[in-house]
Amino acid sequence: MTTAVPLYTINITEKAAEKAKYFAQKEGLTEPFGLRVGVKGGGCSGLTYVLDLMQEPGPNDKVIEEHGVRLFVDKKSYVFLAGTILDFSDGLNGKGFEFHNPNAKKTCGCGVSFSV
Amino acid sequence: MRVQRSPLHAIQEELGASFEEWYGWDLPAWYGTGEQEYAAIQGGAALVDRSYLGRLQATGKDVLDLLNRLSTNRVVDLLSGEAVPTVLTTERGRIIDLVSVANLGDSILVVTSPQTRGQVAQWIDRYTFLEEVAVEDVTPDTALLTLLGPGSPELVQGVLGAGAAALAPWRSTPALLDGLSLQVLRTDPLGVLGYDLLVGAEEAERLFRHLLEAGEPLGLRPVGMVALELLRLRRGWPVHGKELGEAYNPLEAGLKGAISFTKGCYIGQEVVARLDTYQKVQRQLVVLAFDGSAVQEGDRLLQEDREAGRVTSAARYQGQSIGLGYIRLGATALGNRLAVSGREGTTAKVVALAQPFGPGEE
Repeated sequence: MTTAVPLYTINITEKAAEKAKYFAQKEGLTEPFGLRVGVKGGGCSGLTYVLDLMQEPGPNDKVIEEHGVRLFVDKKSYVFLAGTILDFSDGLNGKGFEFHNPNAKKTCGCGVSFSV
Repeated sequence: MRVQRSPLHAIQEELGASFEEWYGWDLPAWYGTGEQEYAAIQGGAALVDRSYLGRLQATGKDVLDLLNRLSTNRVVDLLSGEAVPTVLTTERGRIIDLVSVANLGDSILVVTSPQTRGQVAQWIDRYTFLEEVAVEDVTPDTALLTLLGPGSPELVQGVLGAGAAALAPWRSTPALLDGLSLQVLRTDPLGVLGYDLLVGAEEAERLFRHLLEAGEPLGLRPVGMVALELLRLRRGWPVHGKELGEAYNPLEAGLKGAISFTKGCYIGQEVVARLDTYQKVQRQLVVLAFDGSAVQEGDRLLQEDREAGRVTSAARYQGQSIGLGYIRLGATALGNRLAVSGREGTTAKVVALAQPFGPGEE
């Protein structure tokens, strides 16, 4: 199967970018702000996602810009996230921000934790 | 790998210890006889060098939060002076190691199995992303002396003060002895009233001599690995490489007392919770008493000619042979007798379930 997903980067959908801007404004951040995306140890399957709004990137962060939002990714997390699309699903059954990560071989019941 | 030596090797030699290799370390098997030393643990006071256990010193504000996400017990809110046993598990709920985590105030001490300190340090490092966590292997720079037995509180009181002697289980305190600073941890190793004394490697011999001298009127004896191993088997305490490792999960190893079922997610949590909730545990670690010829690790145990389990540890004491083994559920009833495969007429009786930290949360 061929896929249109550009690998080796991290993408954010337009909808997720709009939501990020909305929350940034709510939290009083000024443009240009950034969205930290990363992983941390733990969760049932070994790794869980990190998502955090911040003003400035860390010194060793990779910065990716799309739909007017900057993504800050630390190098170690990037290894586990390359190819990921950050989306947002709303509505009553929506999960909020969602990581579609091609590296995740196994995801836990609640979808928060994954292993590679 | 080269056999390691404790910083107390010289004084142990001076005391006439017979050395044997245990866990990759050259350690005293006994000083006098195993029987005398076993009796000292049971009825008096014993001084054991447990420097062979791995010691990792972790610093940084996120250490407890990270360890809480990597292991079975609740460690996130450990206060200074508190400690707990916890199990690092894989995403499949298998055992990487059983460790103790102690908050010493300015750092967190992680005591590992003898062979796993490098592996545990690597495991922590693998899951350190943005956290402020630094792990240092302080095993070569420190020594761990253990006082065991009903006479140990009196000795600790005399040498280190009433505060150290009165420590509740899984509590620690810093202490001073003639300008020598150490950490006293009451962890009741192997289920016997006892204190671990963590001291700098260079000062270990001085502390060892001081304790022997002060403990003489109380009948304190230096005790070697043979007596300690007998105690371990009788009390049903698993060790890494025999009863603990990635072939096993913490529930079958009897470590339920080191698992929090309410603290939330950690690596392997989903599997461990499912095994517990749906009672999917297949086998259980038990204490065995053997009758007949000598039994060895790896011997197969049979119930009505069907394999029911395997011996993981075995030792002889005063003509009696005891051990540990994993037995499938349904054959673990206390008093149940199993045949030992390949050893005509030899049986293994189930004496107790291994539950080092108690039956656990219900």
